[in-house]
Amino acid sequence: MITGAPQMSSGLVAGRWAADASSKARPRGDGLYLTCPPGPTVSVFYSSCTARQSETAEVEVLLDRLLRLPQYRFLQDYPGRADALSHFMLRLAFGQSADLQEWWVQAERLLLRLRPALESLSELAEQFLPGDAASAQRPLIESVSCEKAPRQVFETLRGDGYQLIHEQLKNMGHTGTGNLENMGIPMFKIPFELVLRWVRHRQLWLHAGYAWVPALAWNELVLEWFDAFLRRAGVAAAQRLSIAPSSSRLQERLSPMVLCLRERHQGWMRSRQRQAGTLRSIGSSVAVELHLPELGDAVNDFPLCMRLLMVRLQDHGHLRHQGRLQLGLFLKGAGLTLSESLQFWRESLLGKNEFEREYAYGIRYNYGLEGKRKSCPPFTCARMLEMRPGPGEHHGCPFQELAAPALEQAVRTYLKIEEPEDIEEITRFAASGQPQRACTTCLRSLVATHESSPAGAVASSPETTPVAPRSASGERNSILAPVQHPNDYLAQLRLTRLANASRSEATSDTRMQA
Amino acid sequence: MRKRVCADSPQESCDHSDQVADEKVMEREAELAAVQALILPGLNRRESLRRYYAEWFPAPMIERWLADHVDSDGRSSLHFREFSFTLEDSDGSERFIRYLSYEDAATFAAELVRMTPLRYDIGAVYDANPRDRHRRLNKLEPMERELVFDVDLDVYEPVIALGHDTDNLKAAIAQDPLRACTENWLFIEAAVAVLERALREDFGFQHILWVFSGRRGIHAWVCDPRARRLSDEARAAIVEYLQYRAPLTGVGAAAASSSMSRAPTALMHPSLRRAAEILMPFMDRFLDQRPGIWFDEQAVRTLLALCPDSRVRETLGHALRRSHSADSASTTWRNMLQRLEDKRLDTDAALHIVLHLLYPRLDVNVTRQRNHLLKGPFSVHPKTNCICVPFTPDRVSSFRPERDVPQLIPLVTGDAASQQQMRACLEMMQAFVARLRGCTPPRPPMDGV
Repeated sequence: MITGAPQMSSGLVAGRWAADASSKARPRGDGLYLTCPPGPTVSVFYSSCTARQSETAEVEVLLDRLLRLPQYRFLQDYPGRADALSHFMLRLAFGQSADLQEWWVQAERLLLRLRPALESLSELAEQFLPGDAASAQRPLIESVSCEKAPRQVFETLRGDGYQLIHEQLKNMGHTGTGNLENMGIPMFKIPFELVLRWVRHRQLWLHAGYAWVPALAWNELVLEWFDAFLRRAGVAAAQRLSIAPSSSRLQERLSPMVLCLRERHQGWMRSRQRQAGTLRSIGSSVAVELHLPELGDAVNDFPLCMRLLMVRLQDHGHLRHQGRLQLGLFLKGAGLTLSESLQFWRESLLGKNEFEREYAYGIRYNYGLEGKRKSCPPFTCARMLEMRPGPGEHHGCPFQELAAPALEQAVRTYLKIEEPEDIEEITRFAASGQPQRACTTCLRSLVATHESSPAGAVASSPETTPVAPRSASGERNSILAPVQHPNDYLAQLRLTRLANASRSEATSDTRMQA
Repeated sequence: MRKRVCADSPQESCDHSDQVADEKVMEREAELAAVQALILPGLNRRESLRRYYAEWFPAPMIERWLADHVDSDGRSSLHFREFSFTLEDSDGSERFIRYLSYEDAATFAAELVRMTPLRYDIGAVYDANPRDRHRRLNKLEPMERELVFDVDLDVYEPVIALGHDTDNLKAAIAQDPLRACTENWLFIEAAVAVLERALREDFGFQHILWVFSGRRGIHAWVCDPRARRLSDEARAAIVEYLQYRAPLTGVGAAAASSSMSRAPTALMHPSLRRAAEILMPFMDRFLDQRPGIWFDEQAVRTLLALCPDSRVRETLGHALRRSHSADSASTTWRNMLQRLEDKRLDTDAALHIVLHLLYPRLDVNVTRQRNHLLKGPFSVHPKTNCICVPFTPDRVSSFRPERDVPQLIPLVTGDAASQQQMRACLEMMQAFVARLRGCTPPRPPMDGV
């Protein structure tokens, strides 16, 4: 049906399937874990679970290198049944809480991408077409109706639609030009509800509630659906386990394993963070806690998203709701107490007589003193990337929202980064849709500036640090963990500055003694 | 006093009896109006609201519009639908009650009369009766909700201010919001035209109810069953799809100097190109309302900065300097575009100016979440006392809030013109609901009595 697809698919699935005995026994489509095989003994079970856990962990770290290797040994040796069972176990263990689930879903996506069995995910996707596999026990997504494009479709695509699809093909690494119809690429008609990510970014051709998608995009589509399916299934599995009676045999056997797997994961995450040098392992050290008197200086250490909000707030004396929320929670996370927050906003917002009525409630709410009385955590980068600003709004991630010249200007003006190499890297990452890496580059650049500059004359005056004597390539490649959270960014920068200050104090002390 | 319409009689029969009633009361109307004019100026707001809800508010029509099916117990799905009221306390402060729900139109109408809310809002259909939410183990989950959009002229302020004296403008708006709304109705017309096409052609929706929000904006309620079932993520994606982001935005935008080069503009999505085509005629009107705009250096700089391509920007600036001062603003604009074409430059870059000025600016938060509340049709706007009446998209260009929207006090005190406006709006709503529920309207909409 989709004959052209496997050969033309982007580098997504490179390896060939090395058939092992167990895979033959597996029904087609079980790579997506629609059904669970009958249970094994606990010990076998546990060992395969831990193997999967560490493998996915490794995959995440080593992905770049692995992708270049010709063989995916660890995946090819993987026996099909253990694979399925360990998947279902991790689903139970990680399905429940949001951050565990996030990690697990990402890992499963990676595994699915790498799995040589999926010569073509599009082949699997056919399983969910109403035609041959309508009787699949649990369809991945309800009511997927797709059909091969009839001839007239190519006529409706004339003009802009055509161009758009060409662009789409180019992004997928397809170099063909000319008439789509003659290229023989099948098209599929998919209800727009199933391709939301592309709708959101206005990346496909929509007509009367349906998207027309070239079959080449199947890989991406299936991954997306798989993602949604896993999230739902994870929650459902965790719910079912939690309502099982606590004295039942099921609970007795599974609960310890679930706990153990979670513990293992958390231990691993902690050690990884410590290696990467983020500050969670240190805990929120008192030294980096931010209080109102220091705010004026600390503004220079804010990540760009917060820095721009501060500038906006100073210039206009107002921020719209989402902006207030983003900045307010960030300041709270940085250490401002409730009374400090209230004072800060009272001084910053114009229209003071409206303050108590309009804004104070919101601030107290953030600290868990109003409404449902739950202390709200600061937004993570992932959350802020989701919050796209409308007109007149300035929240969200500037590396995603600002166009290249505006971004460059902002980085130069507010972060005081002048290094041309860094600027180039930042704009390149931002332009290629990797905002968090762009932000990481900023952080790295600033940390390097701090470390190389004499204490006291830090980032606020970059002129004094002409050419940062960084150990050229070595330092450039030193991996800082990508920025995931604006508060981590702030803490890291402040800690660097403090360490730097104490270091230079120490040197001046020794000099004095000498 | 005329005994009224749909509030207390069943849908189908009300039109006929209405006609008879109309004839009967005709001759007495003038007399009554005179008497009421004497009595009613003393009416306080509460009393006039009560009269409005009792005599004019079309509760059965609202029920028919909101409740699309009947459950196994023979009850309409209305009782899982959230309503909320904003009440005025005796000391003048406002109180807001959420999670109300009603069995049917009669109880809803009775509650409106009893509580006389300043305004009422409509929320989602939940998986249980919202009033029972504390008795349940699980949280209340929204199941269905119309896909709603909110366009408010407040967000257009920077654009409206272009080529105008800002201080005067603000004063004028504060003084008479309705008038300001009428003057800038152009933006609303443009928004309706663009959204109508996008929602119908791209997303395939059929039943879009447009409602004047009572002061400075409009709401759209997309009522197709498919739209009602959309998840929150789908709504977020749709509103994102319908949002235009200028290539140069944000804090640094104004500061970006013209010497900075930019990569050639990315491919323009067909929906944006279509929008730009729709908006072109509006651009002429926008410019002609501001005859001096090309002489206002500040405004020109802002406009040209919206154009992402520096060569196009320079050409436009050059064309502007060479234009005749006698030409109208729109002619100058056309000449500038012509100039671009002559030089075979990318005209898409100039379209970004049009899009930035006139593309609908949506309040995304209203659309994104199913449990977000939105003022219902035929609610009263608490500040202007305007009734939030529906209008049809094909008449949007002739719709003038100042003239066509009935106001609370004249309506209940028997002003004939207001009543006629109100009747026309009720008929419009009736026709919409009839189309939505798949039957023909009982009679064609009539103009006047």
